Amino acid sequence: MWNIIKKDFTFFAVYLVVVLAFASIMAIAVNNELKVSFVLISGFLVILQIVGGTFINEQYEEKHKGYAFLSTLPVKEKEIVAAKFCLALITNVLYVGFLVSLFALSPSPSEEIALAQSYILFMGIVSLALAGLSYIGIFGIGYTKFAVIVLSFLVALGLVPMFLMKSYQDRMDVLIDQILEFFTNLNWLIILPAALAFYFGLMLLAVKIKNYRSLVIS
Amino acid sequence: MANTLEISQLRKEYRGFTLQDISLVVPEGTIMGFIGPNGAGKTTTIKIIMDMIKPIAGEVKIFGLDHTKHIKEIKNRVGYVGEDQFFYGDKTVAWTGKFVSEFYDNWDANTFQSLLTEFVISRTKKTRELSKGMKVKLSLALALAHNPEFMILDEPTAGLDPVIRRDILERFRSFADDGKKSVLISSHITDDITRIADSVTFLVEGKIVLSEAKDELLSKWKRIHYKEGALDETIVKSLTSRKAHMFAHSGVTDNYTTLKESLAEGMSKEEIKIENVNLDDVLISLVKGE
Repeated sequence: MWNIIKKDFTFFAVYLVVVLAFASIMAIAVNNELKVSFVLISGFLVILQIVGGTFINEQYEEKHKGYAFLSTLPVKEKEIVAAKFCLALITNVLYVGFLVSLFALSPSPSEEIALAQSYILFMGIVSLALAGLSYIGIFGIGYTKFAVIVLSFLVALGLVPMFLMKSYQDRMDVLIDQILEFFTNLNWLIILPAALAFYFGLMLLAVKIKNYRSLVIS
Repeated sequence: MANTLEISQLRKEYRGFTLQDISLVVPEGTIMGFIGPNGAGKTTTIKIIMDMIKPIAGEVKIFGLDHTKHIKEIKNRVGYVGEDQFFYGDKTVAWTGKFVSEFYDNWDANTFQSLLTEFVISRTKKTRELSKGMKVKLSLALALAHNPEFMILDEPTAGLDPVIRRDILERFRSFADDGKKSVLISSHITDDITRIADSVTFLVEGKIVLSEAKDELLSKWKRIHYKEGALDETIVKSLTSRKAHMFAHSGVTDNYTTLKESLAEGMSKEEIKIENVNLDDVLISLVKGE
C-alpha cells in the first residue's frame, strides 16, 4: 500500500509545494496580518489541491491503465482504494496543518485567528468528503464519464454565488454575520471524529463499488 | 502428482457471451496450452484465475489455495504475462522494476537485472519507448524475477516477430523443465502450443470442448484420405472437416486408435491414407464441426 501512496504522492506534492509557497508568500506580503481575501483563497485552494490532485492522479491512472497494471500485482483491491484515500487524507492534514499553524503565528486578534482556522478546517473536511465522493464516482462509472459530470456540475455551481448575492441583495451584512457565526460555533471535538468516520465510510463504500464493478462490468 | 491449478464450474456472463462452467486442472510440472479462436473466453478465464475479474459462480484453487481468500499469497507465487502490457509509460524500466519489486516477498533484484541484460532492455528507457516485443520481454523479466512457481501467460506471443517468439517460448519451456513448476499458456497460435505444451485444452464459445495430453490427442486425431466406397458409411459420417474431391475424399477423425484395425485393409490396398493433423486442424474441426 505504501508504494502506491509513494507513487501517487508525486502529483499531490507538486501542487502542495506550489500552494504552500503561495500561502507563505501571501503571509509575508500582508505582514502576517490575516486578511479575509487571503484566508478565503487559502480555503478554496485546500479544496482545489485535494480534489484537483485526486482528479489529476486518476487521469494518470486512466491514461496508463494503471489499475490494470496494479491488478496483476500481489495487492488487494481494497489496499489500492485505501492507498488512494490515505493519500488524500495525508495531503489534507499536511496542507490544513500548515495553514492552521501559519495563522496561529499571525499577530491578528485571537478571535480572528480562531475563525480563520475554523474556516480552513471546515474546508479541509469538505475537500476530504469531495475527494471520497470523487473516488466513489470514478470507481462506479469510470474516470471519463465522471469527469464530464463533475465539469457540468462545477459550471452549475458557479451560479450559486450569483444566486446568493441576488437573494441577499440588501442583506449582505446579515449573510456574512450568519457565515461568521457558523464558523465560530463549530464544535471540532465532535465534527473532526465524525468527519473522519464519514470519510472511512466513504472508503468502505468505494471498496464495495470497485469490487461490484469488477463483478458486473469487467 | 499435486495440481497447481484447479478450476471447477467457473461461470461468467456478459451480454452476448457466457463462459460456461469451465473446469480445468493443471498438474504440477506441466505446461498446458489453452487454445481457442478469438472471443472464445481464454482471456476471461485467465483474468478470473488472476482475480482481475470476478466470476458469478465456480471455484479457483491455485497451489491448493482458494484464490478469493489467498490472492495476495497466490500472486506472490505466480508470474503473469498478459496479452497487453500496461506500464506507467512516463516511468523508466528501472523505476518499473523497483516499483514492482516492492509488492513481492521473493523479489530477486539480481535475476531481474540479469534478465534485462539478457533481453537487451535499457534500464533508462521509458516504458512507452519500448517496442511491443520489448514490452513482452520486460513483462517476462518482471514475472520471472520473483521466482514464481506457476506462470500464467495470456497470448504472450501475439504480434511478435518469429525470432522473439521463439526466444520467449524457449524461456517458457525451460521454466517448466525442473518438473515442479507449471505453465498455463493461452494462444490462438497453435504452433506455439505444439512447440511447448504437454497437454491442451480447447475452448470454443465459452465452453471447454476438449482437454487432453497433447501426444495422446495427436495420436487419436488423424486426417483420413479415402477413395469412394473404401470407408464404411458409419465411419464417414463420424468424420469432421469432410472434403469431397473428384478422385478421393478426406475427413478428420478423433478416434484413430480405435479405427486403426478396421482401416488396415484399405490402407494395404492404398485406398485409404492416413495423415497426421496439427492442433490447427483439430481446432478447425472443433469450431466448424461438419
